[in-house]
Amino acid sequence: MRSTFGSIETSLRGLRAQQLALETTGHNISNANTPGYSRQVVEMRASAPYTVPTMNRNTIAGQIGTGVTVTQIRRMRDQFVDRRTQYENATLGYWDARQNAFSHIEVIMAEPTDLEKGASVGYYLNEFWSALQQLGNANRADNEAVRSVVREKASNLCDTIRGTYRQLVALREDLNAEINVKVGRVNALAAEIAGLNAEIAKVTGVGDQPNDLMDQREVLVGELSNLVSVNIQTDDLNRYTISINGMLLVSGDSFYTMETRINTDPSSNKNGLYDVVWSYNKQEVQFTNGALKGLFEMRDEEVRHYMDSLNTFAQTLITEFNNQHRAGYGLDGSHDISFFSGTGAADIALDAAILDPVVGLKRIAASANGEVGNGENALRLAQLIKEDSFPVLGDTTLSDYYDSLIAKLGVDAEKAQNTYDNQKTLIGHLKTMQEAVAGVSLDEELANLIKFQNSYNAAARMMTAIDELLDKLINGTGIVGL
Amino acid sequence: MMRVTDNMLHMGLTGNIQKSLERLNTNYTRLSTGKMINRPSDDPVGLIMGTRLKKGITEGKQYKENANAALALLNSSDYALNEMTSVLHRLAELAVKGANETNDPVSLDAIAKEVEELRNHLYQIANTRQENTYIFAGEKTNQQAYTIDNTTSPPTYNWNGSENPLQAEVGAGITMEVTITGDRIFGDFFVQLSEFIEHLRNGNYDAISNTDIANIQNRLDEVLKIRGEIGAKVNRIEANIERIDLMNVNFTELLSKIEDTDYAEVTMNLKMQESVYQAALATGARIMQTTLVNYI
Repeated sequence: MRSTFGSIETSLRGLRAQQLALETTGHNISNANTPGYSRQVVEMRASAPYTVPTMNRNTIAGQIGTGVTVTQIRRMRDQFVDRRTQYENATLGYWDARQNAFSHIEVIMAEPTDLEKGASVGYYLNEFWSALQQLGNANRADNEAVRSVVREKASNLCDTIRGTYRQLVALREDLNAEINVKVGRVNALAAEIAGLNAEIAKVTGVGDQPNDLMDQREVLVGELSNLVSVNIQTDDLNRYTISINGMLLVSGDSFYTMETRINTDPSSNKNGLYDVVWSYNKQEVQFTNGALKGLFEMRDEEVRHYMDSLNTFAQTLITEFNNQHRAGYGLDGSHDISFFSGTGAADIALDAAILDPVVGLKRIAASANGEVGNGENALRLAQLIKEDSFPVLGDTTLSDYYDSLIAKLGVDAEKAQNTYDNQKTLIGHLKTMQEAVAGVSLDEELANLIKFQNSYNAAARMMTAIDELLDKLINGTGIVGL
Repeated sequence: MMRVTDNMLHMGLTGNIQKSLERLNTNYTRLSTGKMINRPSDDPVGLIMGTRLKKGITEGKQYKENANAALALLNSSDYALNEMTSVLHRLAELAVKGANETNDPVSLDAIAKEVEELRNHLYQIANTRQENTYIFAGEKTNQQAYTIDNTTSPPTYNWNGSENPLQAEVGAGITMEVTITGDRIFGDFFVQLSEFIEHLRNGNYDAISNTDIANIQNRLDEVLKIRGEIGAKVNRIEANIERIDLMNVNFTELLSKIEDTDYAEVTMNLKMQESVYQAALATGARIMQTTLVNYI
């Protein structure tokens, strides 16, 4: 026997299922532009049929359908692409930090300098060489105007070396501050992810799908993976366990913070700058990839390299130049006078003896033998810049040493820029791949809207038809003659 | 088949517009600065080549300046020595005249007076200056090459300069002496002239014809030899300047090829990029506004 009102129930199931699908379509359309949102799909299945026993077919019963049931609202997402994106994100963050800092260094070094304008160390080194040549040749050794040009160019050179060095120091401090900010961000993300983990576990525990919470968490993990290289594992309650180089950052609903600590070891190249340690055991955090590793490398190795090189350059210039200068004689017979003062790139300047407004110019030791017209020492000084090689500069000249520094900068910066661009393209592809699965297509949703709306209408019509049938049955039968 | 979503179109479009804008920006920078290399990473290899060429140009410029200063000194020297040659010619004439035994004491005295004047002239030539430099005083550029002591009779002329001539680097590794020191030009000619005057005053014809004429002739030979040397140096320096000029033209051309914007090419690229950019924008305007909503 078939149930009298069974068909109404079937139609009702249809109405409910189509309504749920319509709601989900609305949810998808609303979130079409939400970052990290994954489209959701209502999965329907025919509900369990029942068997109608009849007199004719008592062994194999015919099955009667009972309508539709919704099994789950599925979140469309490719987990594999997520993991790959997170992995590549760390590399993107790393190269982004590098190319960014390198482009700062490029601006600071101000190369290539225009022949006419000039602001770089290399430019003034050339100018200084020219001035010394001018002084040393023909009959200009005792020419005060030429001497004042030598002093002015030397002074420009000192100012530029000091200025460049100061800017590199400032860049290093900026990178240091950025490390601090980024560490704070890692902590905040860890806390948020742990919070979401807890909620997700609750929802999963009662057998539901925490679709939107998982989307939110994926966005946070995406940002985190840009900062540090993370390893992610999922447990049976859909919680993420996140570790950095084997150390736990997030585990279920708990998380571990890291903190910055100023390095006080005077022998370290990070003295006065931040170390990053785990709060709970004060062990240094080992970054293997990501923006933080990039920042650390730039701060402690690359920027440091340019600072050290500039310093070696300045030290060699001061020592060698002063030695040669002391061997010569000034116009006033002065001898054994230093030309530069200072100990490196931070404090290189002209010696007070040379800066003296009255006799300073006369003290420039152009002469090798004390005769005023002799310019040999000035020529020797010029040779120190372009012709003499020094072991401390890797057996190159001052001029070549500086040029190779700029060449290295060009190659490094170009590599950082290119790698960053490539990595960005790769991430773009991965995003497109994920978008193909998870992205909301308005056309698709609108098509679904029509489909579900029509199904809803049809289910309602079905109910009307059954209503008419019952009306006929109840009010139109068994009333013959009434 | 890949599922294509609205966001994907949007991402692709904005990404492409961004790239297109970046390329436009690169070309704008190249056009507005006139340089292909605006930072080391633009072209590291070109940058190194450019730096070398620039150094070559600066060095060439400097050597040329040195060479010009050297030329000025050599030309002043030659001018002075040319004057000295005339003086020596006149002295030779006077010596021949004075050796003639028919001269009476009055005319001999007149000749002696003229020789004294010429000696003064030579003294002036010996102390020729260019700018503030006594060009014949060697490295003692701020001192007279010869000083005169009028307390003796005849006055004594003392060599006061240094025997080291001035030098100039007129090309990479080409250093040459660019002045001639007074002691080489004059030797003991001032003493010889004083003796000549003495001989004229005393009517010592023998000494005039045997010694003085020879002395003057020897000095003339020496000066002509020195002038020959100066001429050779001037030629060498001028050739060197020409070489530097030629090299600098070549260097500048090469540098320009590496560093300077090829306006025709960049403008063409810019135009192309602009069209791409326009097309991207137009496409965007079309795909952005159409969805199924427009039709249902």
